[in-house]
Amino acid sequence: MTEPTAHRDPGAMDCARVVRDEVTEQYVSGRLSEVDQAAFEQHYFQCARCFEELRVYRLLRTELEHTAASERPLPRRFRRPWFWSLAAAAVLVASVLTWRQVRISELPTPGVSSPAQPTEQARVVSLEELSAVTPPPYQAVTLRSTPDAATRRFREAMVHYQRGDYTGSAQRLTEAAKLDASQPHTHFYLGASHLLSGNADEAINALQAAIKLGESGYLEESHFYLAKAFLRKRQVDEARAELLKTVALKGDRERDARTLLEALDALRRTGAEIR
Amino acid sequence: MDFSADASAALFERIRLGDAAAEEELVQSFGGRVFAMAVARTRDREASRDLVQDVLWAVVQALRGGQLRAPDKLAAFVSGTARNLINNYCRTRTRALPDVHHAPVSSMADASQMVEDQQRALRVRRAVSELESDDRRILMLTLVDGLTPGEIASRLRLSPDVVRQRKSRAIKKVIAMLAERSRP
Repeated sequence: MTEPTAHRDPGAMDCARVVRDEVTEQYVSGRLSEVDQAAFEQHYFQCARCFEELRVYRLLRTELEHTAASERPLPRRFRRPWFWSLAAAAVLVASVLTWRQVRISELPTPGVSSPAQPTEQARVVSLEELSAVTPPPYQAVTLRSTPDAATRRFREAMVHYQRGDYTGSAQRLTEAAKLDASQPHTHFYLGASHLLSGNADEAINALQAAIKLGESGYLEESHFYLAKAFLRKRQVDEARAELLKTVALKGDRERDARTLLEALDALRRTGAEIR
Repeated sequence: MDFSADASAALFERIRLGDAAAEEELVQSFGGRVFAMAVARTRDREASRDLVQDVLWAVVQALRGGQLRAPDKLAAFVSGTARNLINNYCRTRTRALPDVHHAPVSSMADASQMVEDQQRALRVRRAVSELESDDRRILMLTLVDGLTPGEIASRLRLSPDVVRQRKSRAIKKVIAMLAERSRP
């Protein structure tokens, strides 16, 4: 009986071999030889089934990388009590040295009068600073098919958005949303445009509309920017709720959301007048 | 979409004759594959996005000029072009085609494909969070740390067969959850 081609030629690849040798898993984890890697790539460029499997494995690996970063315990050497005593001592020494440096720099230079300097202390970021927003990026996609009216309006709006004309983009995105209310990206960028042009109430409405459309590529960003909009209106409890939802989605904004939550807690501890 | 010899030749001919819809089909069919190859070889998602544009631009240009010697082997041509440009990037860490606006196809990314991938990523996230922690750990050690079943077995004090079975069960569970959640 003749051996299948895949066994005679180490580089040859077919679906049977992909399954038998767990090729997809090895490819994603970087364990394939160069020959097999090239062969598998050539195979999945032609095979829809194997490419679909690869897409799932890649998504799985990405998600597991995020999970690993949050779940993994500290390396063993960091878990020992003596390590933490040493670390605490090092921090104390560094603090003393820094304090002494500050004190030395505060001493007046002979012959030069200097105004009284306030004592250096940690600065708590204000609510206004926490509510500052950077424009979410937008990358134009040029497709050759004929766009519908809503898409045309959206694209016109985003030309204004990319120029920094957020009032102009907001106006056109409002029209786009009236033409087609089912597009999360329209509501998201409308919310961002309103926020960037100082209209927090309209921003809240638009971002809530994006969120109501359910799972989409804009869900996490919408929660995050909605939190910013609430901060702009000094509605801290509502902002916290949106940041917690952002964290729960465990996406690219998780770290930013956690940082903001910590800053809000720090602000509250100072006894500042916030709800 | 599987690419038969006839389908490849037909798509090539349509592109050669200036059919814009055929170029879009090419982007839809191969954009994701080129991205997968670029990520696997560069481990750099940002660079990979740029490389996708470069590769597809080079392919479209070649097809428009009728430069495909074997029209029935379109997939092989695209994968070969991708490998060359990606390997060249890895060697020199520069793109063959720097920031040129590839008008009129200035961005070859398919917006609807990206959104669909983001939605699937959310579903994978939910599926992973519902796995048993041991199964999740086995998948992590396999796909993230690149350990073999034997290495995982000795680390977790299991037999390699048990590791293989649990890994296979966990992956099937994720795929089943994905299929379930994607139903309308």
